[in-house]
Amino acid sequence: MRLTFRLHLLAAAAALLALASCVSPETVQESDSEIMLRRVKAVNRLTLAQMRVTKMATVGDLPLDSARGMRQTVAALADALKIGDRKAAYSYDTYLTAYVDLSEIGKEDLTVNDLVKRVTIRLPEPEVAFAGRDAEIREDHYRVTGLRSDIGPAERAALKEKMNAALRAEVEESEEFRRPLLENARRRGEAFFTELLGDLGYTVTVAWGKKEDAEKKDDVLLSPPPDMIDEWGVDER
Amino acid sequence: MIRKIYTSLIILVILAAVAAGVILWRKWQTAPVADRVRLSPARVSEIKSMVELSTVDIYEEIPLKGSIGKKHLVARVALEGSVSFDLDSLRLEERGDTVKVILPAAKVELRESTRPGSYEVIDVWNDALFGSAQFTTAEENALKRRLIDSAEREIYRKGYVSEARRRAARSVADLLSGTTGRPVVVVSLP
Repeated sequence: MRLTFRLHLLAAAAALLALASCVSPETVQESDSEIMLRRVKAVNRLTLAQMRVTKMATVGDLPLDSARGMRQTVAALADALKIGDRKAAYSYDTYLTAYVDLSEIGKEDLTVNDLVKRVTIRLPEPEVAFAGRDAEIREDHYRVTGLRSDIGPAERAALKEKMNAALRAEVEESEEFRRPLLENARRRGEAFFTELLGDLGYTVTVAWGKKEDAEKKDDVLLSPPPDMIDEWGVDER
Repeated sequence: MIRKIYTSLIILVILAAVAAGVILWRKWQTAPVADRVRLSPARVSEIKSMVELSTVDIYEEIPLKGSIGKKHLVARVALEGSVSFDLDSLRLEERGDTVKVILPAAKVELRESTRPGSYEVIDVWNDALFGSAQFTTAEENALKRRLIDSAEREIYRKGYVSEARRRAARSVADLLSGTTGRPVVVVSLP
């Protein structure tokens, strides 16, 4: 009798456990206590433009006719012997921003003439930075047939890592990404300050670059070229 | 005599085999690696102008522990983002000599970091004996989206948004009073 009761109790507990596991089929643990690293930094940054850059990669067997060298030939032969196909295409977006650091603006960068209501503001040159990438990856194509293995999270993570490294290199090497972003940022920055202070009745002139840099440029233009110094002479008094 | 010839022949064959092995090994080492991944060049999908003031930057590394049915995934994710304010919707009102500024609501945006090694899968498994441990892309994406939503809620809970709002109010006030020379009062929306 007691044994039957215990068996019933066990069955009820198992059923409860099974029910509990069915309540939430998709779960993510809230992991505040498990945060490995958190850095919070105070900044004063005005973002003026954002660029979305798309990177795509395909996964597929190595065709025998395009294999170069021993390794690739062996791999292509091995792929040809496998039963089924394994092809997929993935893409995701990375974001670049152009911003100005407002903490670099000093009193000397602002000139206000209250009589004629004119303001001149000198903004630091905009800078370009990576602003993260989509955590999700888009699966543009997926065809795994026969006895081929599925593409799983670890392989997708490795693929994303490879795509990320290539994208970073492309962005750092090519002006194709930086130039339009910086041009947009300058235009938007000028428009923003003109509109903002225009609403208060001010006429605004926006200049770019640090004042010292601009003065240095003027110095370079005013000073004689190096080969002319002798001709001009040196004042030794 | 015949025995000597056989011995020399065997030694010769062994030497030839070793030499061939060394040549093959060197060729293998210098041959291009078999890569089944082909990367397309990156392309610009969109350029957007904006005016957003960011006053707090966040970088965090968190474990992703998620389950779908009997399948489980454990990974390490690095997130980066900021708390910012859309200054395009900044409202200015003049009250006598004073300028009143209404700061828009804060926006918390977290994304996966672009630093190397920002997403690393540690383990995947299935509790069912013969069940597949592989997660589909849609399943993995759903887990990551939930993780980011939870991390963004955490940013509010920890008070970083309130701190960002205080800093933004000070920054806007400094900028406007510096350019206009007038007293500025900043009111921020929750």
